[in-house]
Amino acid sequence: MNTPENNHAAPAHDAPLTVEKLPTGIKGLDEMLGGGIPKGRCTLVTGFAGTGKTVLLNEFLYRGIQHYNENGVFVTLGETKDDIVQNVGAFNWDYPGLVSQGSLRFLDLTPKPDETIEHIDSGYDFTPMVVRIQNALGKAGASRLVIDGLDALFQRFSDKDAIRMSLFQLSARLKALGVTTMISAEKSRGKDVLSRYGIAEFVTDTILDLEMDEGEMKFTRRIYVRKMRGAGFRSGRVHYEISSRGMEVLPRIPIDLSMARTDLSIRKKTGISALDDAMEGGIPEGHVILVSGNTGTGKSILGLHFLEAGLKVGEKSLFVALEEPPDQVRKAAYGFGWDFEAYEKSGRLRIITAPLIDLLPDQLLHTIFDALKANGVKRIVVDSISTILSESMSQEGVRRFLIQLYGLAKTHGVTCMLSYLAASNFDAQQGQLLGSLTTSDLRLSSVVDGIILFRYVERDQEVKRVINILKMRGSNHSKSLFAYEVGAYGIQLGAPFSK
Amino acid sequence: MSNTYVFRLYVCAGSVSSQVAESRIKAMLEARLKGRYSLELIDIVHDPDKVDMDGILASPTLVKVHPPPERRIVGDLSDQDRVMAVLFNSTEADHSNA
Repeated sequence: MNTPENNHAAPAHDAPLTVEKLPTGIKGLDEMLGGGIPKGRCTLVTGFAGTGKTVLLNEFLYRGIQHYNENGVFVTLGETKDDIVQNVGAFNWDYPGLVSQGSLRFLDLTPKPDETIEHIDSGYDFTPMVVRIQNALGKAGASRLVIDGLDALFQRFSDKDAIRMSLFQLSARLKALGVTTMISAEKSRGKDVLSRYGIAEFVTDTILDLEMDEGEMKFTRRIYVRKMRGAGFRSGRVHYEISSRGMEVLPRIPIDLSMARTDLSIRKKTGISALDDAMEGGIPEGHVILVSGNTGTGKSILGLHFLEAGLKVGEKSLFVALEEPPDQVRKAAYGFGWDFEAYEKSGRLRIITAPLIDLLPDQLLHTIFDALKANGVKRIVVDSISTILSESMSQEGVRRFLIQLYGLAKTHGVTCMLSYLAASNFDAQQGQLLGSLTTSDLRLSSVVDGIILFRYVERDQEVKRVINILKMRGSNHSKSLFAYEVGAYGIQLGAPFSK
Repeated sequence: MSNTYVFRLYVCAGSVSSQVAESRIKAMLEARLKGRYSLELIDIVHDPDKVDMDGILASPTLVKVHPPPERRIVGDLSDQDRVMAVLFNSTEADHSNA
């Protein structure tokens, strides 16, 4: 069966490996697909009801008109034309305007409300449908076509073979016309619509699958490439969002670690001189530091210190405020005599925040990345990783976020401080701390360059607060415990604590 | 007018099932409604706009336009009894009396 002849013959019958891609114009999707969808071919979009298949199809047409001056035809078998026009009105897309200027054309193949029941006989084909689609494409001068709700056709007509045959016929014509097509088909629970109707065999080039999970307040959505001719796409599930601006896909940010820039000789001061001294002058540039401690120990304050130390010497900084609203951060900093508002006005500091409910680590990462690219940020504080963990409810998502952030820090020479709430730090032994951090499900220790612990210890019938540098790659740091106080000027370190 | 039946058959020139449907419906109508019907043939390839307006998806499609209610039959009309039932069920009584 697996004769050498067969093995050698296979590639010859395959399509050439280089398939020209057509950029869809949908934010993030082209990046994920390695440039776009195969040009002049059919892409099948599948997913359960409500995943956003129609939105994706609309985006494909709308972006084509807006960005590439490519006219489009919208063939609908599911929702009526009026419903679709009304739905995209929520994105502020002027479909009636596009229709009247001729760049968009609708072909409504839904049954008319007054249409009497069609009595189905045998021996028919869908030539009229193919002819009408071709007619519409010609009139619109379109190079983009979407067919929404193919499954509805299978529900209305009993002769599945006839539908399949006409899809073959249609795809051959579209290929000849060089029209790039997106077709949506709804999945229903427990049935694989693709194999059941043989649509997958018809659309052999590309299949995009949309998935949806229920979050606390909204749905989290993911898209993945089930199949794509001519490789070059990124595999794996990628988050996407549907908002008032339309659809936004959030692919992982590619990171080339060969470009890593960690210069151990350049130190970033924390602004607390005793702490800087304890690690040979500060945090090495490009390091990602985890600041771990119980609630109220001063993790956020250390973050403010770190930002102020950079800001006052002109370094651009980013504060990701997830614990407190930005205004509270400004007030806290002001309390220590640091005017963050002035830094913001001069463009040196940016404070960003994110919706806490159903927070998407991937989306937050994109926000950080955008700010980094636009601004040339040198210091980033994320307050806190614990918030991302508790709000996104995804340990794997947070771990991926950290790995990506780690890569960003290394490739852009950005020094990051991340706070992490660790309740177990109270009254624990140092060995246990190390253990809990390294063996926890998050396995944080391996994706950070340093760990600074804020701890409570019991000494002489008193609970005292101590700082301990647990880990700092590339630095001969002090292993001592330092008592500290939080006063009017922020954190002040005392002498190394006696053990 | 009320005694005149109006039919439309949407066909695809060169399609075997269209040709079969055409000869079958002509035979049926001749036998039953000789002189009291009109049958318009519409070639979908030559008149896509008309096909658009009438919302035809498959061919051949036979439409009984008059008298109401409108009836549509998709296919090559092989099941003659069913075709007759669909086309004349609602008006059967009038004609047996006539």
